[in-house]
Amino acid sequence: MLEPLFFPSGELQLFGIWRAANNAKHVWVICPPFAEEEKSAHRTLTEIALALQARGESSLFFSYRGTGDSEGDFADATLTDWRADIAAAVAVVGARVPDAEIGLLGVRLGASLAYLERERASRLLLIEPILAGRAMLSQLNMRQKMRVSMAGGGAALPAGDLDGWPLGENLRDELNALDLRDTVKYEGEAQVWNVGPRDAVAPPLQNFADQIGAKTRAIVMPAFWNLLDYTPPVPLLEALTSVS
Amino acid sequence: MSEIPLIFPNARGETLVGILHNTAKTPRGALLFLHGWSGYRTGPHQMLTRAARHFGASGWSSLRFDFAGRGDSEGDTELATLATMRDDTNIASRLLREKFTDGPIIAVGLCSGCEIAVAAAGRNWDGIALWSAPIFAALPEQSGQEKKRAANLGKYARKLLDPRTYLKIARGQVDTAAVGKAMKGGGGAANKNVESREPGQLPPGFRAQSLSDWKKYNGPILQIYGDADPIAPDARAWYAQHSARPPVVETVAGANHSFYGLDWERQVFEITQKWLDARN
Amino acid sequence: MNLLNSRIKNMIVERLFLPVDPNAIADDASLMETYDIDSVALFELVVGLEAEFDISMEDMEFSPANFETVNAMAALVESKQGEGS
Repeated sequence: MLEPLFFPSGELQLFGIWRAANNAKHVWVICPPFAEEEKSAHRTLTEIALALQARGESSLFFSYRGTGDSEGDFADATLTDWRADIAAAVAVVGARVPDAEIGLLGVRLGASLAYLERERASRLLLIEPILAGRAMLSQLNMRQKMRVSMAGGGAALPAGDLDGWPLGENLRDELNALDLRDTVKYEGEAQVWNVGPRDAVAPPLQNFADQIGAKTRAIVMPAFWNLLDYTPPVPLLEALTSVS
Repeated sequence: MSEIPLIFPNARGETLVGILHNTAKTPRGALLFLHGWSGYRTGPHQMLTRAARHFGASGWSSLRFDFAGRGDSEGDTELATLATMRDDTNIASRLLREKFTDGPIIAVGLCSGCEIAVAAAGRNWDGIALWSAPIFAALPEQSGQEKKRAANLGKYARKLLDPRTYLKIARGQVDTAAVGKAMKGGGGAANKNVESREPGQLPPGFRAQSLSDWKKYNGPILQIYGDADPIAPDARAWYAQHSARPPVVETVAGANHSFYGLDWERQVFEITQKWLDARN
Repeated sequence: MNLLNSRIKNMIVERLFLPVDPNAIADDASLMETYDIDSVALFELVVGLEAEFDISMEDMEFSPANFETVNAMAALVESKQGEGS
């Protein structure tokens, strides 16, 4: 079953897609990546939700405030708000399937936020979590510069305009401060996945996984959150079968 | 204004997901947003959500939805074509017409969504706004196709379905048989707009039939391009040549193909708003 | 072939999932033209260079000319590594 819905987070309504499985013992909140990465990753996350549903696990794939179809203005959003949005999504799935174990599944920034909200879940699946928000912002700024250069130059966008996303000062400051490179053990069951060209987990991600006590896995496929065109996420879905 | 989640079936029985934007008062008309090939109903950069809210504030209701195989809708991504998207659009357009019986129905396409607007124009709309419209149903890399194929193996490799192939490529064990298989046919961006009887490709005759229908469409057309969009010159010439009624063409200075900048996006909304105001 | 260029070629093939022999990439061939590099692929190369050579590029330093050929990328890596020594 597929049910699009709005649910409250504070004063705002957030949009999500609820995919229910019959008698689900596990339910997941799917935490998307940041800004334009979400667009590239969206279909892959839908396919992950479908794969979970096919094996009897429910999920809520939602949009943070100021993104997707959710209410709110991106310019006003903060990481603190988005963590509250994850909490609101957890409350929704907890109410819908009271006896199920709750897991958080996130990609990139979504994985980082899922880790920060780990106490709300008994399982984490973190796909390429952002360990240093400053580095992510720097790369996104560089990517924006590439777009300008490859379109034949022209004026750079003003500060605060991240490829059409209005980056507020508070969000920028919180991203710059985001650092998961020295963190603590997670008591639940966790996996950290590396997605890229190598059949090996990158050392920084391995260190993070070791600190939180997570298993790791390398998924050999392109970084789907950066692509313009859809790539069938077969290696990712295959790996999903290993998550018990 | 209210925003209501909507699901509805397409002709193939797949469930499509959309958001209906209802204005508080009697709407001046309704907009049907058609997203691009690699986007979904919200954007890129949330542009379509923001557009629906922007035009909603001035009295235009709207529907944004995901084509089958895109966004949250059901369907196989690799089997979606302009033809399946056109069929989905016909149903969405009918739905919109049932909900909003008064006032004009206007299609707003972005990038490849403009191609869908062209393919479905004959029967559906009182006006069409085309943001960054490419030449209709052009083949990828029409010129120098074979040369490009040899050079672009990487792009074809990305659509290989077998995870073992990724592994082999990653390990330097090139699987030429699998690569060749991927290049032969099938759907996806690499084969966009190829006509054949293969699943995931356009049915033979689609381009000619759609073009014939388009030439009969005599409603108003607005086109907006960024002047840093490399497709704009050829595409503008194509529409000038093939449209029954000359489009109104506006340019956003400095903007790229997907209007990846807040000021460019604002200008697109303002130009479109002015054009819509003249419709009703 | 020098080691640096060889590592860069391997990185290009790896990052872009190119089913070609890295040695087949010429040092001075235009990568943009030969492999039709778009902004997505270019971004992958930047990320790949940073990871492979443990260098960090500030966004203000980006120029497509630094990624035009293997030789240009090698010069960039040498200059970045020189900054740290």
